[in-house]
Amino acid sequence: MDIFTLVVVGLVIITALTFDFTNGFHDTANAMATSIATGALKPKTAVIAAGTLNLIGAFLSTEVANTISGGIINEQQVTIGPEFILAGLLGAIIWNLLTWLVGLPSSSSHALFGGLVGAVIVGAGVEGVNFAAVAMKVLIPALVSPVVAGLAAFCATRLIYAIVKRMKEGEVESGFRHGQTITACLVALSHGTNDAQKTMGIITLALIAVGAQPSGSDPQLWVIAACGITIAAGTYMGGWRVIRTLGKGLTEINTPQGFAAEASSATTILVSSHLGFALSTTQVCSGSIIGSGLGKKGSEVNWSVAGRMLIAWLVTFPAAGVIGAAACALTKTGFAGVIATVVLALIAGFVIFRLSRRNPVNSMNVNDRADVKLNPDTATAHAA
Amino acid sequence: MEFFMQEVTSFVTVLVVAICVACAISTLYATGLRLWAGSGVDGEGNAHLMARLGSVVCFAACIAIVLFALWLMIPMFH
Repeated sequence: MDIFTLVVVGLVIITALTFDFTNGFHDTANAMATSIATGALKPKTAVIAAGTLNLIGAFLSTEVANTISGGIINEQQVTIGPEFILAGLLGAIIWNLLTWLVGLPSSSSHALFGGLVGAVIVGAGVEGVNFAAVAMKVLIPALVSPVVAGLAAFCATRLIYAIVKRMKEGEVESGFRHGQTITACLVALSHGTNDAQKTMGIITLALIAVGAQPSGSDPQLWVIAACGITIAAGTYMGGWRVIRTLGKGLTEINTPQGFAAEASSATTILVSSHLGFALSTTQVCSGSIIGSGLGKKGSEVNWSVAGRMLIAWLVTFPAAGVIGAAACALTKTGFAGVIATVVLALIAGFVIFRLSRRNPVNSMNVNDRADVKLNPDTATAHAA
Repeated sequence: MEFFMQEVTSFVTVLVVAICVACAISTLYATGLRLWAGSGVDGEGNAHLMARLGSVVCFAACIAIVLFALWLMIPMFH
């Protein structure tokens, strides 16, 4: 094994773990946004719970897929070299950071697939991509997930308010607080059992590709531990910008609605994964929040935010693909290209981080406003 | 065409099952809360034991559903 491959594989592992981290903090909102918005859990408690459950989930389920892309890339025809994976991961990371900056929830797995597809198109040609699988696994789920979860949450919210109509409001609020916490924890656990696996799979396949472990073997303990700890750390950091949008931006949520939304999300995720229709967690959770807003009489859904989310979901795959393609064009040129790509990605990440500091969202102010603004001046002007 | 029909069928199955389960667990939890709220000793000194019992049954069913969800989620169990 030459030094070039060794460095690239090292970079793949580091980049994969970085992706895992962004995956964690981007998706904290899915499980915990409603609990934080209703005050069922304190913001810090919520992210600690979600982080711990993600860590447990990562160790509970280590059945790693034997393909990186789940059939989206024709892995028999094209060998996905480590530099393709690197480029794809960088595309996904940068897209995750950009959507976090503007506070929009977007699917991390769609970003990963998009980045990989973009990299493969540039690196190996269009015939490496299975476009039927793209439609089945990315496009259709993006449109179907919010509808299924939204309808379930709508019906559940209606039923709940019909049943508790005669109860005192305070009793209802506090009663559903416990239920909401439990259902939110289920969503967090299921996230850990699904998402940490993706990174484990990538690292394991990279190790197999360079002969560091036999083909078809399970991930090594340090890989499982590293992925679990990274996704838990990312979750604990909390993507507060996304949490604010999901918890406050779509609709005003009370604990019964939060319960209905999280119960519908958990149900939809479990049912779809056991009846063979892959739905995306992010879109399921956003859909059920909208559904719970529609289900309560007198509560309003902010459709302009919902519309922006829908656009973000549809754009995620091609946008991450474009970044992945650009990264791959650069990594293809050789060792210097690989280093240049990583340096450029680091600069992009740093710029996004600096931009986010202009108007930071954190555990202290997450519930103060309903929108995520980039420019602090206009934000204060609006507040005044 | 056959493939398409198969996809539509599985989509409808997911939709129907998701709605039914979400409604079932919401109904159980909400009923449990409502019965519990009405199960205290009232002003005339009557205890509502049936309401209390119904409430406990509802919550027990909720716990059973959560445990089943955990069983589904963790591959070690099956």
